[in-house]
Amino acid sequence: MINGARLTINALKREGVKVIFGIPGLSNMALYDAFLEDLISGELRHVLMRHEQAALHAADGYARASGIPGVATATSGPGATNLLTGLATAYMDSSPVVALTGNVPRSVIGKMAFQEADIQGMAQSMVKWAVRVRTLNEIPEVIKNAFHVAVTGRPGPVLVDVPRDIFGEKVDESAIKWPEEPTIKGYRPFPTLIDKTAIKRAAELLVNAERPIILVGAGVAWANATKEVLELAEVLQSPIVSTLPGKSSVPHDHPLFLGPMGYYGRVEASFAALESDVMLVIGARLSDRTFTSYDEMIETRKKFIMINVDPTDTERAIPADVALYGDAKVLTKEITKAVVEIGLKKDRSPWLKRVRELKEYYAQFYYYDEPGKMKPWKVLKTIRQVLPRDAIVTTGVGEHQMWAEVFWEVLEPRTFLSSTGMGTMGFGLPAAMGAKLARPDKVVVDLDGDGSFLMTGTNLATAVDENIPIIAVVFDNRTLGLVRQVQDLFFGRRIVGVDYGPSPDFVKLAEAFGALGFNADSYDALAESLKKAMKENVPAVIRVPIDKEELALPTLPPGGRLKQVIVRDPRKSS
Amino acid sequence: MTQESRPERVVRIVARYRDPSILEVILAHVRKLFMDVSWFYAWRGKEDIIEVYMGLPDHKNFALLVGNLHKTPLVEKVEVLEDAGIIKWVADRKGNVRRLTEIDGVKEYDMVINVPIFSKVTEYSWGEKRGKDLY
Repeated sequence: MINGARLTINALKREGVKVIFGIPGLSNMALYDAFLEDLISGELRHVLMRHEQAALHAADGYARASGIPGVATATSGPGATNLLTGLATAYMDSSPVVALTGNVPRSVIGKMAFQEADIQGMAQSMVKWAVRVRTLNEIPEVIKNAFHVAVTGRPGPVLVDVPRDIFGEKVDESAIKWPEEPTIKGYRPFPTLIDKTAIKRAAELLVNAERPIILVGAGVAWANATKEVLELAEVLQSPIVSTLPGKSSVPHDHPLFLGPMGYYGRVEASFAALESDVMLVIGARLSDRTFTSYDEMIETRKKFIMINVDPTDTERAIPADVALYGDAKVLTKEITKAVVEIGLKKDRSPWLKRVRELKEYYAQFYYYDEPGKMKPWKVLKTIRQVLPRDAIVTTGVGEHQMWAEVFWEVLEPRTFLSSTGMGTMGFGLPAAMGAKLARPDKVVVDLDGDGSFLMTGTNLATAVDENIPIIAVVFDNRTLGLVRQVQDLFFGRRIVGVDYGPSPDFVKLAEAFGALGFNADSYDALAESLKKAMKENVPAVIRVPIDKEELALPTLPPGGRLKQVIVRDPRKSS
Repeated sequence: MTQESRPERVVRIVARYRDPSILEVILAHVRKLFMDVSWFYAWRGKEDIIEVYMGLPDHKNFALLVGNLHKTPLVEKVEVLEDAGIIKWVADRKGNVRRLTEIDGVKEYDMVINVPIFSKVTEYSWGEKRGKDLY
């Protein structure tokens, strides 16, 4: 005989699960009892997080770094509700995570039992699928289906809720039917449609364009289509720009890559996007952070070709002249083939010259130095010079994230993980821990802000206890900088509710957790701290002092168009 | 956000019933988009199929709603019943059924049944769109 908890663990193992992030409590502790032997044998690893939100972010980081679904577990009530921010974060950034919650026994559900929460009802608007197990026999197929839904089509999180009395029920092991294939009805991964006519039309538009541009989103990384995108860009001699999450899709040292466009993106990327006459969008959903005004893009009268796995994304923001649905890798390859068949007809050198001019012109605004101050661009350059090419970087949310958007050079796909859709502060540290467990051979660094870091910073204790050697670089400006910046520039300098006092001392905080702590008050000290942290291979926090008045530029006025970009500190010009 | 002056759109959703959450999910999609529901019928048919008919005041988010619904796990397909007219029937508590007229009106416990009359359906299902004439 086998109980429901053991059946659940067996089902997870059949899906290839190796790591579970979570916290036990009354309603999921049967699962823990069930996997004890797996922990002893090394078949599974459990990471005891300090908060369920962080458990979900860690599972999310694991998924983004590896492409394999991450798994998190929580108990009922507050444990489950603490997962919600993490689920919403994974949903907005299309990250495949499976969250497993225990719930109160079926006999007491609806009676305000201790730690009862209708987590299925709460989560279903922020996950791809929320499902509650009703009987023991359903467990194998529900788990199988959960993983299938999480990874196929547009990836996303799935919540599986199990009343804990089901964990305790027993069944004859020989009676269990393990599904070989997913059994879910009413769900189909989106098909990849190879529409030869549309592909030819797309190729013709691109070949005949005077000023083509390729905009890549995170979908390129999820589809492992980086190589195909670069090939197409090279054949077309087309510049590439990205969304913020799309930074993870293209190596930034490729000569045709301009950087991320959008609200806090690089001006040359945004302006090249505006000036282009044909835009090929691959794996991006054109959020309001990328195209801050849809009208502004439509007014350029450019032609849009869109490749997206999710056909509802294709024309949500802007009508596409050619829409191609399906896998970015397959469809990009098809377009390249069609372009090669037609042959390049236009001289692209004037367009590439113009793009170079934009790049050179705006560089003057980015890279300025101020004596006695640590400048974010130089901090990031210093970190880049020290880290290996394939190091994985996560971020929190705030000014540091925007600096990373503009200045962090991604050199390998899937090495830049950031909460871009939900903008969840506190994502960076636990996501780094998850990424490190998914890719233990890589150096993993969390670029964080002081405000963001402290939202989930208690999980540094987990990193120490579990020997997860991540490095957090904290841009410490003692303020919620991005909010402060908006107050400063657009709310008449009425700074309110954002500035922190002297607490905490990040070096002492790190040391109290058992991590290495560094105060890097110079670029040399920063480089040395990073080298030491990598050499020691233990969790570390490096505090970098940043001036409170430092702005995240380029930026836009609230609701502004890309053309309204602000590149200089407006306080200085006044 | 009600736009009663605009025409009504009628949709039929065919989904897999696992538990009542499928209805919550469908209605949450409507709510999120600031849309209203004029009427709503649902019933479980054979096996685990549930059919939902909804009358929705037309809204600029209607296409977005259909797009979101048609990629919702457990939803097999969303059908837009194009230019559907509605015939209203009334069933009383004794089981008598009649066409609704202004003269007779509706009494307490009478059930009003909106029957869509249409000749063309556009079907959306997991990234695929099909149109069919029903003449």
